[in-house]
Amino acid sequence: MYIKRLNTNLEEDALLTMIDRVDTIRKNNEINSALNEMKEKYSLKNAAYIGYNMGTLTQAEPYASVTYSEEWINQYREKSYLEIDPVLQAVQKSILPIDWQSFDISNQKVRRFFNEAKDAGVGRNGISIPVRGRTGDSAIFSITANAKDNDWFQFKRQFMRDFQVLAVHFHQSVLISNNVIQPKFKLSHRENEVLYWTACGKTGEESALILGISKRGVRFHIYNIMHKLNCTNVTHAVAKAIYYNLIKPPR
Amino acid sequence: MIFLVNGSERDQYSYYMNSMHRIRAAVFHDRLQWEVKVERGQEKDRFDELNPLYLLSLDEESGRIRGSARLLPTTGPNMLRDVFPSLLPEDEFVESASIWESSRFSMEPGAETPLPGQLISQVTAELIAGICEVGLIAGLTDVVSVFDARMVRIMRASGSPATIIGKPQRIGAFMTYAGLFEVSDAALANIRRATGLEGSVLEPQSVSRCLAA
Repeated sequence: MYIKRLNTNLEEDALLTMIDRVDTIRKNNEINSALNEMKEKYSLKNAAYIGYNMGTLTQAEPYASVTYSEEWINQYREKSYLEIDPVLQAVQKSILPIDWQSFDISNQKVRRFFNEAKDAGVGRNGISIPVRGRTGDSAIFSITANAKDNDWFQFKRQFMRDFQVLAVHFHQSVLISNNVIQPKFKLSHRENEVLYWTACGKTGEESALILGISKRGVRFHIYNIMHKLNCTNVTHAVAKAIYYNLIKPPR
Repeated sequence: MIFLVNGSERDQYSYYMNSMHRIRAAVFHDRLQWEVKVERGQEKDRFDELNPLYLLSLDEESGRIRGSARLLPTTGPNMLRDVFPSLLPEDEFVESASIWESSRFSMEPGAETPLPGQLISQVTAELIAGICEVGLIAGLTDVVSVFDARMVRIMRASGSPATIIGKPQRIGAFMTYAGLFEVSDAALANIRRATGLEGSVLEPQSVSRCLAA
């Protein structure tokens, strides 16, 4: 079964490994190989990233990196499917992830589009996740699979969070690779305190006690720190922060 | 019952949306005395133009809107970062793919009064459970929100206690907090246990409509 196969394929920290992989991308041509790696890791059929309104980069047409077959890409271009693709339209209207199954296929155009996609090996099931950036930039991150309906339901439940997170990391990496934004390494006062005590060997609970905040509060700051420093775990974050001389003793 | 509406569907559901904006004016302008813009009895702000997802609490008998909440991703513009940055220490902000912001949580006068023997009202319970359910659909870990002290108590009573982040401040007439709410199957189970809700509060057709937009 799909899920079983997935679980045996997927090492425990697939998401962290994948985030680490995506966050180290500094060149455009690495986007596609990272999409392919994600595809392998999660036993997907395909993955696609399409970015909009990213400064001068996308004024003419959106930025796209996809793992689809040449056949489908050509067909998509020739028939100007960019204009009728219901996924692209839907994702711009909603912040919720969209399951391709929910599209109304009583519309003949839509039905034909999905049938042709299926024939071209795009995948039986798909979800598209909208990404929204701070300056009007946005993206659509899609993954597809060949699964039975019930397995697909389970799969979505289990991994939606992974793809939601990866969607944003891919978006950030595309922005960085194209010099739209710079990677940022600046910790807030509280983040510095949390990381300082962590570097001193304090547990989350001890840091919480020292700083007079809750354990979940400490965890929240650690997550933010890992996000800012592009790190996969606390050890990684402490090491990187020391390397870049980011940790200051609290005043 | 919670009826979902995408911001992009505003015109299609103008009757519901107008009710929502009127209730928001009564709550945020009249009662909480926040500095919000009210035009023709309706409270609207710039975040309403960013195509958020609305959760509308619909009274099944009367077909009327009794309360609402609004969700926006924290990777984009949001209230905590752009309107209330002072609630968090300098340089600190919430920006995560797995955290959305809930704002303008409100209900019409009277709708917050619990039935005898209950800690929180039906409308409150449904909105809180609805936010958690939507969060699960979207794959979130947490929902972040700006709220007053009364909401802190309500959230505790709903089985979904807030983790306060940053430093509370007086805004308008009340102390104002920023807090995180967990989104998980366990958190939803806690909410259901505390509020007596059984099963999903989301109106199924509006869910499929919003998922296909």
